[in-house]
Amino acid sequence: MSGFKYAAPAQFYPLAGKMALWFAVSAAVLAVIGLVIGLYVAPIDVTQKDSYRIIYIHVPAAWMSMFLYVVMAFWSALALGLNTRLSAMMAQSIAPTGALMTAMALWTGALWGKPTWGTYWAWDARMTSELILLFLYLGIIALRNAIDDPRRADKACGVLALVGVVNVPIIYYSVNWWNTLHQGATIKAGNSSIDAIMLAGLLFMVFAFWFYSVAVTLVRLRTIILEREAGAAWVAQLAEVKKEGR
Amino acid sequence: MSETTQETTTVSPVGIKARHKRFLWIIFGLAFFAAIVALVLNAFGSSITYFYSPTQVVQDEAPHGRAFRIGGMVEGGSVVRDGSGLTVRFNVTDTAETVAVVYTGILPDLFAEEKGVVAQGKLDEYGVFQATQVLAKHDENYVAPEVQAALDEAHKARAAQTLEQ
Amino acid sequence: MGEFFAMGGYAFFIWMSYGMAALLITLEIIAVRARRKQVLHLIRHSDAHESGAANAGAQLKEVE
Repeated sequence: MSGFKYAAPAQFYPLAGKMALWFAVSAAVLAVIGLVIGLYVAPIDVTQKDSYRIIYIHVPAAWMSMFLYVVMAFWSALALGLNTRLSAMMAQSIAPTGALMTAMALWTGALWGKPTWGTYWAWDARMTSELILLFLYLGIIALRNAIDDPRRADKACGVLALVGVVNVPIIYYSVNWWNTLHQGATIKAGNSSIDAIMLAGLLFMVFAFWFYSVAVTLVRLRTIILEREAGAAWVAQLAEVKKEGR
Repeated sequence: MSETTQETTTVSPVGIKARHKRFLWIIFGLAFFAAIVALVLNAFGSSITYFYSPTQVVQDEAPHGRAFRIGGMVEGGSVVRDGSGLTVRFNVTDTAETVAVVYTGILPDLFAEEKGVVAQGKLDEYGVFQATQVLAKHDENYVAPEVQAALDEAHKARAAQTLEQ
Repeated sequence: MGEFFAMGGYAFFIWMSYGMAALLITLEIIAVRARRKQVLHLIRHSDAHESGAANAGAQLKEVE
């Protein structure tokens, strides 16, 4: 039974609060270190000069956009298969942050493309599939808001999330499978084709984005738990519900 | 207690709007769904390949009579600018085959010999690619200037050594 | 200092990227906190809190 202890929203709610704080503080610290390295300590790139510094937000945002989708699809599958409430709520809490990361990846990519490639946008496989990812996230959010009954919304959004998951490997491998304007992956298991200090800055930013996503998703999850369990006795017993403020 | 009732009444106007909101969300959802389908169909309709290699062009795999993109390396020593400096001629190569390109306009900063390039345009009757847009395709390597200088130095030293022998 | 902000002539592209990232993250934090406050407020002031009825859930759905 102990393994399922946190599967219940009532048990998970206080834990999520503690975790959110920890992840938020860690994300802030990592981001400060990453930004100092990325914008100041790291040298320019030989070919791209200072314009390459967009990598420190573009790559973390793009990775999170794909990673969060896979995590969302995982919780959706669990919710559909096992009919668990908490996993459906987790899937629900991820979609807005996933959409935000996708939008950020597209925006920073456009601003990186102009000074290097010579264009803000190209309909190549990498960019088109990332745009489809944004529409998938927005479609899931819209579907959620269009259905009144949360349990029915869970099912509909879960199915859409699972269908859309095929897009993630397409995004990732598009640069290998087809001729694209977008370059291949810089960071690969084994040998990465990037200077050590640049890699260090990038990794700090990747973890900062990751921890930020976890923190903001957990806070949103807590709100979703409160909304959907509003009538439950344990909610009425919460200090933040009893007291004014916070 | 009076404050409580006041708060509840401020909430109700939002509640009335909920139905309209839901309708808007359905419209949004359908729009996004349509956009996804359109993008996927477009990707399958045209080619997912963003550009053709010189080998594909020479082997007649590129489309005839309509614009397409050609991608490869700018051949070393092939870039020639005309008097005005706006028209550029260069060769695009994939080491196996080479296609001549003519372009009038502004080149991206990263356009250079022996670097990646993607040009959009049409083949003329002489087999010369008349480009309307030229984009630079850079690689995934990020190198610090000092490291590049050290690499160049080492390269020079090795070349000198082989000359001596 | 000026040299740092000039970013070797790429200031527009760099700061538009970092600026948008900062803006989006700030907006998300504000939105998430505002929603939490709103939900807590509704639960606190709904009849459910006093009478134990499952009224709050229905009310929250309306607001959403």
